[in-house]
Amino acid sequence: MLEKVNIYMGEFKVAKNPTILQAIGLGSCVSACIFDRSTKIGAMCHIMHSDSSLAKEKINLYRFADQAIEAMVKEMLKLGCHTRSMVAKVFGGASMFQNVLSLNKIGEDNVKVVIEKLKSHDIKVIAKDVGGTVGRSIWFDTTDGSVVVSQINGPTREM
Amino acid sequence: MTKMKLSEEEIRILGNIADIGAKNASKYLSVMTKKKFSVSIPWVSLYPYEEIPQTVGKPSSIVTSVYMKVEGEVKGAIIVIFPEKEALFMADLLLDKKSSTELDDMAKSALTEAAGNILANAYLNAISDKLKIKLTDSIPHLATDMLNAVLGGVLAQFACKSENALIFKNNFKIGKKKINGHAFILFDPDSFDIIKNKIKNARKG
Repeated sequence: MLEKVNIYMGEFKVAKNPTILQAIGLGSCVSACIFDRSTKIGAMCHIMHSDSSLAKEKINLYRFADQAIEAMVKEMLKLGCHTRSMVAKVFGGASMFQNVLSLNKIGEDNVKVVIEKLKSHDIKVIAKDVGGTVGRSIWFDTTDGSVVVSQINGPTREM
Repeated sequence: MTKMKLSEEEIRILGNIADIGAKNASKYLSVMTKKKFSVSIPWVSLYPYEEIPQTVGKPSSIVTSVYMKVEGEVKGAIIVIFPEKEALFMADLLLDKKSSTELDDMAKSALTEAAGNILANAYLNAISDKLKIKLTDSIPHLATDMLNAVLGGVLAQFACKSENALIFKNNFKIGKKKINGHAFILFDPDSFDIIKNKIKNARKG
C-alpha cells in the first residue's frame, strides 16, 4: 500500500518516492498534478485563487495559482526533473453555486491561470477535468502518473 | 501590510453582537417550526482560511449549504451548512413532514428560506443595529456537495486578500437533538477598517 498524503487548500507537495497525493473536495479550487516521466517524481498543488496581486498583507502565497505552480516547478527542477519530461493534469474549477457569478469566475480563472502558468514552463497539459457544477476528489499515483477522479452522483474515472 | 488584528475588547463586542444575532435567529426558527431551537455561544475569531473547513467536519462529508452575499457599507458573505442527514431533518421540520429521504425542490426552497432569509437576517440585523452599519442581504443560493467543495470558493474570494478570516460562527440545536448546523459570517478584508471604526464608535455611544 502506498502512503496517502493529503494536499489541503493552500498547499503543494512534491513526492520523490511512490505516493498517492490526494485532494478531497475540490470545488472552485484547482489542483495541478505534475509528473516527471523520467524521474517518476510527482507533485500536486491545491490552489484557491488566481490573482496574488489582491493580497493586502503577507499571506500564504500557495493559495494562488501563479505562485504555487512556480514554486512546485522550481522544486521539481531542483530534484533533477526536466520540463521536457514533465506532463500535467488539471482538475477542479467547478461552479458550486449556480448563478453566483462572482464565485463561479473564481473557478474559471483558477483553471485558466494554472494552465497558462504550466504552458509558460513548456509543461504539456495532457488531461484535464475542469468546470461543471459538481465538486471533485482526486488521487494522484506517482508510480505511473495516473489520476483517479470521483464526484458525488457520478462515475469514478481514471485519467 | 500589517496583518489584521483584533483586541480582546473588540472580539468581546463582536461576540456580543453575534450572540444577539444567534438568539434572534433561534427565536424566529422556534416560532416557525414550533420546536425549541437553541444556538451555541458564538465563536468570533481571526482564523486561517485553510483551517475553516476542519471546524465543520471532514473535507469529503456531504453537506447542504446556503450561501448569501452581504452588501452595503460592509461587505461579506454568510454560509449556513447542514450535514446531509440534518438538512433532510431540518427541511422536514420546516415543512411539517417526516422521514424524507431526499431533498426535493420544496425542501430546498424551505431550507433556503430558513437559512437565507431568517437566520442570515437575524445576524445582519444585529450587526446593523449594534454597529450602526447599513447592510443588505442578497438572494440565497443552495448547493449540496462535499464540504470542502462548497466552502472553497466562498473562502477564496476573501482568502486572496488576507491571511486570516474575520469570522463569526454558531452551531445550533433543536430541542434535545443536536443538529450540527453551522452558520458562518465572513467579512471582506476590505471592510476590516470600517468594522474596527464602527466598534470604536459603538463603545463611545
